[in-house]
Amino acid sequence: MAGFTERASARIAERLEPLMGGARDAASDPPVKSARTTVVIGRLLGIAFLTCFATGLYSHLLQDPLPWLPMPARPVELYRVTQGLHVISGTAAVPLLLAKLWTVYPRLFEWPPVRSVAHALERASIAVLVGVSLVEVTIGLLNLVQWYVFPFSFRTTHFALAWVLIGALAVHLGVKLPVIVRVWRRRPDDPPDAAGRTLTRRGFVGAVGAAAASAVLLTAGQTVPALAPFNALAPRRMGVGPQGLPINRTAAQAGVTDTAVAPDWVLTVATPSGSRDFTLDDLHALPQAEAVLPIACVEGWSQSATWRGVRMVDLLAAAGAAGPTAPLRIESLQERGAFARTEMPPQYATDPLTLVALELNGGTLHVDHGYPARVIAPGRPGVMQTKWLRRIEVTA
Amino acid sequence: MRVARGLLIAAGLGLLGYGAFLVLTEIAPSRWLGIVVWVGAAILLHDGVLAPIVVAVGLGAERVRDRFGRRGVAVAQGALLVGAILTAITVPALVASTLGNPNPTILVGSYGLALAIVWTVVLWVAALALRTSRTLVRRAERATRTK
Repeated sequence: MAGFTERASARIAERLEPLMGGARDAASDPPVKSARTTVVIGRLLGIAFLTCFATGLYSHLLQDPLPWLPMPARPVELYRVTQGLHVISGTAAVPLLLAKLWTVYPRLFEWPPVRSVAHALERASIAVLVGVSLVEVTIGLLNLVQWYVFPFSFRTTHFALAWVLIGALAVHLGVKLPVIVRVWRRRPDDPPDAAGRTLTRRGFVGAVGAAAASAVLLTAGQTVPALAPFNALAPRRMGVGPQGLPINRTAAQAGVTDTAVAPDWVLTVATPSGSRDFTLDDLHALPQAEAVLPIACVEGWSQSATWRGVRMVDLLAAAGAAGPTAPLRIESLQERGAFARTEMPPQYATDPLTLVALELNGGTLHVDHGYPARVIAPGRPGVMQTKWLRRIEVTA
Repeated sequence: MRVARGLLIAAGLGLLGYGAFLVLTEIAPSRWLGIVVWVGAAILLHDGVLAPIVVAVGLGAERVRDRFGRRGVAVAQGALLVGAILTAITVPALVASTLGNPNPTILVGSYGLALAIVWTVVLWVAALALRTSRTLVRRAERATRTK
């Protein structure tokens, strides 16, 4: 029996080896597909992935703050920049990732496929790195257009797999460090440019750069005002929406079309010493302030707007709770959804720019922007800028 | 080098472990299979479909290299790459806009038209590069013949 298995596997290997060799020869293209090109492209991809990881982590920290880690409210456009970068570098990672995989594709057919236990583990870690990288970039793109075809939650999966990706990347760098160092110590017989089958090495890197640059140019206009005229491929467009501002969730989607315009609407501010209801007229009677603050969505798009309303500090003072020291609990009329209830750490609640906004860009707040009243604070993700306010609770 | 490699691998395993912990604790077990299937399918689709197509295009380019000239073929390949990447990042918007979204402020572009324009430019650049390069090859051939 053992002899039979041995003979069978020998026969299979005999057949497979020339096939794999043929595939490797067809796919290889030295010196374009070489360690040097892989290091050059890999470095750019590494920067894109690390930028995505750092900015993604920052976004998650803003949404689920750690009690001992205060998050900054200045500069007011900080989150706009970090989350814009997240999506822009994720978009640039598409050509970089595919190019990186293209340069190492011939290695898929190496023979024998597994040389040792360590080699098997290394190949397994590369499979994890490749698969998770492709999935992270793909579900990121799908989330931008709100096309939820994948059978799992975007937010938790994108976050958990990001740690897997960065971990597998660090392992990969550790394993490949000798190769990387060899490329860095340029050998004189390895010229910077050399011709392959058709493209040269520099030609290839240039084409990948052109693909990444055009992908960014034609999408980043949903975040970067200077690039707005070139925005042909992004899901959002600056200036398109009620009152010239895009929205993440409409009143109809949130199920508040009736409650938001109900004549008996009040905003309840509950404090440790009691609670007070404010009608819309009461809110208008309080001192009004104006703030220019961006709406910056987790999906990467952002736009600055002029908001007018009551300063959160003034509202809390009117309710007898000036200077909160614990996070405010903010509730929306919206019944369902992860962000129907949010918390606002004290550094935002006491910020003079934080408003309970009643007006946007010179007109009464549109119902899709949160009429009758919404929160707008500096440096926070759009999902935390609670719309259709119902109740604000001061706990301490 | 030994220390740096050890540190990178140890840190990587730690981060990987934390990621696996998050998958096991934050994501319902009923979702695990879907994640594994997507990761596996991504590898299979890339290694088994996408990469072989790109290799085939490269082999085709090599066959016409001497007829059209190396430069022209290389520029055409670069143009094709740009077109393919722009298509890849736009397909989700294209499909999602046919599915519809109750929010009128998302998917506001004309993605089909935009891609049509992208491909017109890409194919025009490729054709121009191939024609120019082919002319130069012919001229060189004639020059060697008349010598």
